[in-house]
Amino acid sequence: MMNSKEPVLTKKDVNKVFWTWGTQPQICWNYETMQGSSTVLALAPALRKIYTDEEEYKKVLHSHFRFFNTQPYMGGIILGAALAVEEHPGPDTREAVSAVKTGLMGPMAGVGDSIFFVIPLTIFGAIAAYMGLDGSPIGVLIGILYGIALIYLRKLMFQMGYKQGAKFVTTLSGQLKSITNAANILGLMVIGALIPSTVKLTSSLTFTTGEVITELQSTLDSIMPYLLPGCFVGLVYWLLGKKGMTSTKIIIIVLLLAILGYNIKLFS
Amino acid sequence: MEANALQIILLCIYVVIQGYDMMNTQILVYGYVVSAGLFTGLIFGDPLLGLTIGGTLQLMTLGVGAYGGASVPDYTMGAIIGTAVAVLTGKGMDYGLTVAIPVSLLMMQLDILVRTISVWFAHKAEKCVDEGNYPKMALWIRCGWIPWALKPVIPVVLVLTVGADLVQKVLDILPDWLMGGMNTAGGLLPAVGIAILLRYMNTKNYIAYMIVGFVLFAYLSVPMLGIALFGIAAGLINYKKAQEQQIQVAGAASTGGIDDDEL
Repeated sequence: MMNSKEPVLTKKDVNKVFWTWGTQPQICWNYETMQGSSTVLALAPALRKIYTDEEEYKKVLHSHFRFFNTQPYMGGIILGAALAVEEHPGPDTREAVSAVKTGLMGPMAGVGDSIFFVIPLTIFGAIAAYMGLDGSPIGVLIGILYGIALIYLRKLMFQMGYKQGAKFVTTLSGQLKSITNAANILGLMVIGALIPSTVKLTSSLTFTTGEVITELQSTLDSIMPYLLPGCFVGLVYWLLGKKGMTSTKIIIIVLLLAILGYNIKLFS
Repeated sequence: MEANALQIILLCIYVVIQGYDMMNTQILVYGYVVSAGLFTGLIFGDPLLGLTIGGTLQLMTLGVGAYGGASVPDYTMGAIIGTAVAVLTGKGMDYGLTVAIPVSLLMMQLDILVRTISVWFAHKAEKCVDEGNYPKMALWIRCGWIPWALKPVIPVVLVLTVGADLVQKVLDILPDWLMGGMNTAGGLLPAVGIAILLRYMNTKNYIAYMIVGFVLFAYLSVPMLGIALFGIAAGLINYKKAQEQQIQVAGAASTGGIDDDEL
């Protein structure tokens, strides 16, 4: 397999991806694809330069509209890497990019949330709060300065992702298939964990037999924890394979199911 | 004392910018509840009271955050409304805080609604791809912010023009069948995104690893990073094996590719 080695993007194109992502990473955040549309927004102008064939470009855009969710700062690393892989199109590029994005989003979110959110929000929040209670706005100012200083770090992170991604495709292009498979494994393991951690579905149904009240949920839990979220993803996956099924139809079905399920006290 | 038009407009502009920054630019997020109190206090002429209310509410947030798209009580909005009401009524911080709490709860309901409505904007944007209209696609994605922008404006306008009691009344009126149902839907909708992604990935060949990931979280409560390490280990083993096979069957062309399932 041969990947073309000529970079087609100028420094300006690459920077533009960073600034679009950096300023609008969750502009169309939604329950279905979360940050998916923001990755499209950020990557589209650069992808247009890479994919001159109209049909190819459309296919690539569709692939980036898919579910994506991570800590926005860390997302820069992932988008940088994905952009670099895109820049050297080969037969396995689509699979490689999906695998890189899916494999990295979970762990990056975990790391990013603790080092950029939980910890600094607690530290700066506490400083700002205690100084504020003393009537001083200095704590707020410190937090703002920290936020501004981090822009530089966010840019560095994006550039690092781009550089590493480029190294990945140019020096390891012969092994791209096996690396993609490895990333696919990582990605699916992350999705396996995302199902119980992000899909929230429990039952509030109870059965009364004589004096004994049985909760359906505890029965389900004794079979398997997170049985319902697991089954539900399976159901949606199966529905998606049906002819004439679109994601819009699925969403409407899910909304109706949720309202119905809640009101007949099946779901809580 | 009533809020004048200029104050309402200024506050609306501030909450839209603040909400945008919280989700997107993420520059003013460090100490965000205190700064929300401070800015509101500046608009209404009592920054000191704003700092105090913001500080009190900020301390409540420590350790509680919105990660991975979870909806939590909106303390920022609580600080904004709390400060505005406390200054306007002259009843001080305690009264401001009692108003702030129902506002935080209302915001949580609105948050679920907004995160659902923006699905529609994402779909509109993706449709433009097939039409080949890319500027329109970008526009629809950016329009996805409209419900997000309206979210904080609604309670600000309601409270400052009609009155603080209204928020509690709105919360009472909202039918449980709809709000409870939407709450359930919020938990279910990520399943759609995940299932589409699974259709997109090489799931059939590697489903075993998905099961492992599920088990690690569901049964063993392994944190995400630990699960990723498992994934990296499994990936490395697979990679090494593939390398060995490549040496054995030297010259064999690699085949395969993404499964193009129709969505």
